[in-house]
Amino acid sequence: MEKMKKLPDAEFDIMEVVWANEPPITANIVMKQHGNNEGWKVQTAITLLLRLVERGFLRTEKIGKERTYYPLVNREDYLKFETGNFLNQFHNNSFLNLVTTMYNNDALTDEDINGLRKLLNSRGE
Amino acid sequence: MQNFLIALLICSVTMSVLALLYMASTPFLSKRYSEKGRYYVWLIIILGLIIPFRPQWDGALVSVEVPANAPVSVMLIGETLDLDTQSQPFIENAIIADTTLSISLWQIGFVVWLMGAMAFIALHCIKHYRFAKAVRRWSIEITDEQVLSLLGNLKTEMGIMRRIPIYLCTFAGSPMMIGLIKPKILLPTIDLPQDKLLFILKHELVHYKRRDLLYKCLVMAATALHWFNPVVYMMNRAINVLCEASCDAEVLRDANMNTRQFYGGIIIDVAQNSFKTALSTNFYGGRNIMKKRILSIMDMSKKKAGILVACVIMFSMLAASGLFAVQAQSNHSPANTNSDERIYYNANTDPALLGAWSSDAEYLWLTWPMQIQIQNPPSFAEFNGNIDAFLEARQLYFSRYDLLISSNSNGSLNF
Repeated sequence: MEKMKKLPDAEFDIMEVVWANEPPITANIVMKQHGNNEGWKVQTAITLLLRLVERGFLRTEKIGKERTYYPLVNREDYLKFETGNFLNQFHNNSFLNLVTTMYNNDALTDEDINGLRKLLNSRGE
Repeated sequence: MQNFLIALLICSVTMSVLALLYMASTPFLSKRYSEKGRYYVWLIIILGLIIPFRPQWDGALVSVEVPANAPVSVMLIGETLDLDTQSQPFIENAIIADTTLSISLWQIGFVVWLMGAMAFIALHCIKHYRFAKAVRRWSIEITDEQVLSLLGNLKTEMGIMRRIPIYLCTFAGSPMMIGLIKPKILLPTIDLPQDKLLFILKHELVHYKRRDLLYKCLVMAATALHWFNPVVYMMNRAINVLCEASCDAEVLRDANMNTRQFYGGIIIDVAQNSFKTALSTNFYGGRNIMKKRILSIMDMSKKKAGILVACVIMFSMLAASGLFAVQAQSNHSPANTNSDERIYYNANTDPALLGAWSSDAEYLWLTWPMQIQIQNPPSFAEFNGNIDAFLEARQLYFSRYDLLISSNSNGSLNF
């Protein structure tokens, strides 16, 4: 698969349906679980599914009359791709963000963590 | 414009000095004053940075004079003689003519500053928008009854009426609160025992109750205005640390040592878990801050609120504004008879003089006591040709001050 790109909202919603169901996925499933709520036509769902095939997120097979789709990217991998930046941004630089984070300083080593726990326990007595 | 820039620069410098002194005295202050007090003292400094203009009084020890370069000259004369503009409309015209004619260094500086500030705001808006969007996409609202009733009880206890939804947000790394208008709590996991979850929620609710996001907004505004000043970024860091530490202190108010140890353990868990997924590069900055945080969690001694510190900071701010008064225009009053004072007078933009001579006469300048000299006149004869028109206008101009105008032969006019 080529370089992954951030999905637009509509295509992301379809991927959510794909991830939530056992493959194979059909345009009908997409319509039933998402498209109808959005007022899509079946053609819209098919177009979006094919676009996801182009992007390398799905592969497609034709069984009899019906076209079926299988995910090629799992949810966790895509999540990691899409939010990886934030982990960096919001940990190393979070003092310049409009969020309050319970811990937002630089990373600690295991050694640091152990040292802190010792410090915490030593004061109990 | 240049007054604004000068006021901003002076504000930036004086507040930086104050902030650095305040930061340097942290080890001393942290023993005596509460985190909360020290956190809100920063707010005074932040407000001082946002509002660069302070009351000013005469008798400033150091006065900053705006170099009166030619393009602003006529403005100075207008201010100096304190004429109302209705009776002397040509002064107004001259000012307009001047500002359109030349671009000064100050204007360039102003544009650079403005672009920097706008870029800062745009960058952070985009960053925040993208984060908020990812949160919307990837988080699930928690509907678990137990968690919600835990939150409900805490809210009642703390007197919070507002609905604050909790979201499970696996990429958040640490529990956090987002949303200035519609606050929500994000948790990286809810797979926690109730007693731990209770403290995490309480911590976030304290942030909500103290309006820490609004505070952060002000800090961002100050940073946007003073984006060129590295000290402001150091302040950001210091404020952030104090924000969390004072929040801890509030959560643990009147708590015994066991509770404190338990809470300290939660904070260490959060710090540990936040990096399971993060791609971190820097391994050193966090340790000391965390060590101090744990120590202050364990610290049960009573501390002063820090009203004295707040007063000292406020007094220093006012004193600093008295020390550096911006005296861009006020020194050239007629009462000031310092003979070194020179006011450049742009003859080219004075409509009263347009008829006086046509070619490229440069500047007249006034010195105190009243004297007009002609700098680089085309020729005396040429000037002399229409001197009457000039003198008439000038006489009208200065007559309020009962000054006698006379001319001498060497090309300068004495009043």
